[in-house]
Amino acid sequence: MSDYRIGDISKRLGLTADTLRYYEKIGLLQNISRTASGIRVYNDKDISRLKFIQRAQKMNFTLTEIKDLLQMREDPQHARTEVRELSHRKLAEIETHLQDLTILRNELTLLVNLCTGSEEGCPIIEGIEKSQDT
Amino acid sequence: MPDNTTITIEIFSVPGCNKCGKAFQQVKAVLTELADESINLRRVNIVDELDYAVELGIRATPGIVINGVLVFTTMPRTEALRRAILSQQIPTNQEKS
Repeated sequence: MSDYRIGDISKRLGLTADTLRYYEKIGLLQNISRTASGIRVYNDKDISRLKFIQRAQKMNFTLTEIKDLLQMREDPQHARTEVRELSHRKLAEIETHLQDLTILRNELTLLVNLCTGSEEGCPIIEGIEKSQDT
Repeated sequence: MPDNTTITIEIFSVPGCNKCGKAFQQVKAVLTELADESINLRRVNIVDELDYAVELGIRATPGIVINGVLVFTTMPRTEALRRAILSQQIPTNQEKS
């Protein structure tokens, strides 16, 4: 397992040092070790947690929700009932989101293909305008 | 939606798509040859019925849908088209016996 300084993590994940310190303060990151001179040292597990946080934030989960989900991630068998329920709810949200994304992807695929196959210009604009009208 | 006694063929196209026009004419020719009045042919402009097209799995033109199922995603051979239509036809009493 490799060790990383706060600057390495910042560069790798695009998070500021302040954000990383804040995540530690509110308990999203735990047990971050320190060198003898007090410099934070992160490991691969911390990076994995941070990537999870970033993904969850993209899904608009709150930091409180993410903190609970991280508990589930750490020890799924012993997670509290509320945390299990939250995980179920979030899973359902993701499934719905995935379905919406799939439909959107299919629609855009069709429109892009129409655009390349049409000799009378691109019907994408017209398609989008019509869908906005409804 | 088609009932049990009719066959509905839908050609999904978009203005300016040459292949779509050809596919439509090809299907029409096969239907003329089959002379079956229970077969309905409809040309669908994808831009007008985008949700319906996506739901059926149309990703490019032309798309040929028979009884609500996407059967051809490009211009089919005439024989393949004829077979696909015939496979949907309900045998008459005479044919059954």
